[in-house]
Amino acid sequence: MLEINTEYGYAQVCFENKDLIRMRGKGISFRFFARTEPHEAAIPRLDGTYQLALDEVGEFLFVPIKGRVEFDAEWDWKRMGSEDLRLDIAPDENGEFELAIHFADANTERCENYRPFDECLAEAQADYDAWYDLYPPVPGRYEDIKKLAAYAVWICYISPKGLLTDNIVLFDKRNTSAFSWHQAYHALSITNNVDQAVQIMLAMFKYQDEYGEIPDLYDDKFCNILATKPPFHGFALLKMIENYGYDLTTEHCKAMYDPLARWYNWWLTIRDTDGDGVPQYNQGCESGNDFTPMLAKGVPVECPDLMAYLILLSEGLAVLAGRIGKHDEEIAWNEKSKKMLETLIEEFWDGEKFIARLSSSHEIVEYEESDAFIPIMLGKRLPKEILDTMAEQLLDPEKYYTPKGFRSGPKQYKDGAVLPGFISGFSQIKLIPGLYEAGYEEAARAALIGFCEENLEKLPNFAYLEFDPPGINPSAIFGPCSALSSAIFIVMANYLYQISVKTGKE
Amino acid sequence: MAILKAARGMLGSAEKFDLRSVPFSYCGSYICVLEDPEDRKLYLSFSRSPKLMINRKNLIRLTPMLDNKELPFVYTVQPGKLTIKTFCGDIEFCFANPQQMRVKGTGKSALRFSFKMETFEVAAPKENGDLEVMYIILGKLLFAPLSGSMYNNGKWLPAKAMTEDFDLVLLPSIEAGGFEAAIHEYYSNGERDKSYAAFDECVANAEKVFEEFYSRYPDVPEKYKDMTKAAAWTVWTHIVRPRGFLKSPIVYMGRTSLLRGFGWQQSQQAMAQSGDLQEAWKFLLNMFDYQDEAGQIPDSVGEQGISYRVSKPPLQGFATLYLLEKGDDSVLVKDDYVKLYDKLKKFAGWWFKFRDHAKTGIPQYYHSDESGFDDATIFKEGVPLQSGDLLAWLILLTEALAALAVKSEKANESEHWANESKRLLNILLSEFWNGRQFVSRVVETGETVEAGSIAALLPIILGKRLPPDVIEKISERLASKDEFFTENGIVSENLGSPEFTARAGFMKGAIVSPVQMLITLGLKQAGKDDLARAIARRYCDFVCVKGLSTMLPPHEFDLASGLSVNKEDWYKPEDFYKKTEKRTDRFKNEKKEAETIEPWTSWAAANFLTIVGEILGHA
Repeated sequence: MLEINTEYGYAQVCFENKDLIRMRGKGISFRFFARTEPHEAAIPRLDGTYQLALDEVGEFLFVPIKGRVEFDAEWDWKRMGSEDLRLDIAPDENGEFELAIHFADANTERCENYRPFDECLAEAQADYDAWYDLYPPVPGRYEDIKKLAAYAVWICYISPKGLLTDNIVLFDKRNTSAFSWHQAYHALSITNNVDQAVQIMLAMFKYQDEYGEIPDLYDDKFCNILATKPPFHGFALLKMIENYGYDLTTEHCKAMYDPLARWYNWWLTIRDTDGDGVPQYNQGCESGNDFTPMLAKGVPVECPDLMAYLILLSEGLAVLAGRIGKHDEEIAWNEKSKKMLETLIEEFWDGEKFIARLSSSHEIVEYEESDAFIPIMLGKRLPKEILDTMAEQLLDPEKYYTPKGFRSGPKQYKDGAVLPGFISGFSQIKLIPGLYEAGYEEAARAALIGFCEENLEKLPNFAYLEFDPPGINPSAIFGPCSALSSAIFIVMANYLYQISVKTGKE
Repeated sequence: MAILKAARGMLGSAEKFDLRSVPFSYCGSYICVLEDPEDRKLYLSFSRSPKLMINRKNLIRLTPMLDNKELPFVYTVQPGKLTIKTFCGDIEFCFANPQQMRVKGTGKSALRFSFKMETFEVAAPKENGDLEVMYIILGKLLFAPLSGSMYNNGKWLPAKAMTEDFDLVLLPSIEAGGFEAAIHEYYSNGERDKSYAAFDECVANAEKVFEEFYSRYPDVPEKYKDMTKAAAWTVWTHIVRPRGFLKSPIVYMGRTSLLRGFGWQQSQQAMAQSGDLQEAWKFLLNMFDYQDEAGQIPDSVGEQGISYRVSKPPLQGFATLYLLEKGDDSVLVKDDYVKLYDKLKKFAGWWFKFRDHAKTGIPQYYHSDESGFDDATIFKEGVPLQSGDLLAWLILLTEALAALAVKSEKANESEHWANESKRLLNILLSEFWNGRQFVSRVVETGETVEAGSIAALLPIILGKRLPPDVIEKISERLASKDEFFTENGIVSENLGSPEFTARAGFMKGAIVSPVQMLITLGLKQAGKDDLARAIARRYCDFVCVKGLSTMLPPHEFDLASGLSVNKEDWYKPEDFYKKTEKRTDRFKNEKKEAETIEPWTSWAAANFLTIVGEILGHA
């Protein structure tokens, strides 16, 4: 419930369902004001209800249940619409008002009767509680933030409309689109309901094209498949397999196998134009870091992080294949994973870091970015000396280490002053566990705690600055409590919880 | 010095109209070649936008080149081919299919494509020499060289996350005697074909496909044949294939302006194609793919957007009755009637339920856009509005339902609809005819609105269902040069009305194409053939001079101010509220070029085809 309190009275708002807002109040009136553009109009339906129809938004229907409506939206024929809407709901003789606001693309209809407000409120609470129960435990001091994070995801979980044919999680409620790889993060974060986790994992695959690609982002109106996003699904899938065990049934495995296999194959065909068995990015967004310096020499570029994602994806596909009885394919997937790993180590490790290279010419691209170390998420699949060298670089405070997590690029200075580095959630989720499993447990745990504390202090953010320069509000830049950052926080806080349980350390 | 001379063609440098009016494209395709009226350059573009209006019209500039210098050129357009002529050779464009454009150069001239890119957009080379250019929202183009060579200087800039603006050049080779390339268009992924049909074969095929389409339209008098062909080609090139929101082919109103198929316009397309009833029936039905649960069909639908904010007038009844009378219905089967009947029935139900919450028994417009005449003066006192024109549409809709019910073997339902039609006709004549015109009524206040809008005379579409005195009065007013009759057609607002202006708006005085079609057909059905022909001849002659724009000027000069009547850019809704009465150059009569450079619309094309075929074809 949203409650607005004033010294004269209050208003309370809840959702009866996704398309119906209920409102009640006492002691005050409440005003709705909407700017209209030409062709948009608010009109009285002359049955006691009032509709507002907006371009590209839809139609709202205001239905007074208690109290009276004062409506002002003068029709302007030259504007082919009405003036801005002013709609007031004023209290009745008991000082109370109650209002229903329906929403649809068009043709909203009022209910014959309206259920009690408290009943709607209780249902909404129960729905949220059930959503909260999807998530794993976190250390006690993060419990309130976990509740907020669960709420941030819950409100972004939307139902089919327009081009959307299945439920999906939006980036946040200010951004109307769902990103493809975000669904994998959400699936990863849901540890207590395998059906829900699998549904979200597969949500974007409803829009997989005939070549196997999934869009970068999708919503009820728009498909953006200019580029795509990295195949983080393998990482998420392996964690799901670990968490759910055989609760991940044959049916779940069958549902995931084909779409994920086609996704893998797209990377190894359409995104391997020189046919050398090493996939490439054609565009920055495909790496997840739109401005990645890995593409400094042009496109297409064969990149180590992509190879790491696909190593894990083929390993996950091998497990799925085995569980659904496709044993030949299981062997084939494992071999693909192994071969890609060998290529990564032999051709992309330069002794100090993983490099990128142009497709076709194989010209090396030197760059400095924490994403060069994303292969650390392969953990003990990599030789110890590689892990140790990566760890040394990551833990160097002049390079990537900060007490709050790993910055995206090496430490930079301007006129002698340090420039704040950029610490993104979707880098930490790969680097920190990888570092821990490489044996650098204390350092990884410290970075994890630092990252979780940032979430506690500043709310789950898409990214944080290493420190806040005066006069800058990073939350205003990065946007707090997106569904993505909330899911990442829950995963990281739960990881800390698991370490605490294992080690006995708080 | 020799002067470049273009060959004669359907459109082109040597013709009255060229690619400034309507772009070169192919039925089903989303890409086109257009000429910008301001800079007079050629552009390859997409007819794609999540909004009503095109966003990036001048997308990829096309420039014939020699030794890095731009060449002057002229061009000719035939239905299947665009030919650009330079001093150093020709460059030709055609379509192999809706997703593949072909370009071929003969001689020494090269062709440069200049790309304007935005953030995230990229040009990615392939191992085989192809180049994939990826746009946000618009889709992708794959440039596949077939002969000669292809060069590009695209470079990805990480700091901007985009490929900066770049050029791609198709260069001739001596061995090939020119160059050739295929341009594939797709939204997600695509590859070059394993083999390519010969260029001339593609041209011949495109011409054949168009000729088959053209045969749907009736024969016309000789003087209108050229414009009829251009009109049919305009409709043909404005049909886009299903993708995104679109479930079946639809006719976009514009290719470089309003990128949507509008509800009532599809029925007007159907009417124009009366020569092939099976195909026409598809256009009667296509908007119903988007009929919602309440029975509404959207105002407009496009590949990237759909709007249910309002609907459009239920013209489907009028169109259905017209087609059943004119067309060879032996090509239809019971299922065709049942399908249309069920959908129209639901649509009629929507008008009676969702456009009459006050339960008056007479449906209303909840918005002026729902009349199709967005700024008509009948709306000056507000909405919801009962109106004579809406009643006329519903009379014909219910009558059509009665006819369709019979053909669907639902005789009991037929009687219900026939009675409903009569009931509405009685209401129209008893409550909405004031002796001079049909009126409208504001439901909230009961106020009667007697407006100068042509909408007040639109019920002439009822033909002989109207009493003779009503027909006489309407005809008299339509024939009056002080009221609606001009040398160029029927104006949309009474010439004597204080609201009349040819200087702004849509229905405030301009000669609007659907009005000409509806009024002339109505007059003919009312037995006023001579008047119908007189209007039709004037309008069609004027179209041959000015082109197939939705709005045309009634005069060369504004009668009120004496100022030249000129038309600005196509009406932009977001600017409208800021507009003042100070308007110049509305129809661009002050420009030095005599010909119009207003974009043509498929809407105007369809209405012209109906008028010239139905009214003048039998003259």
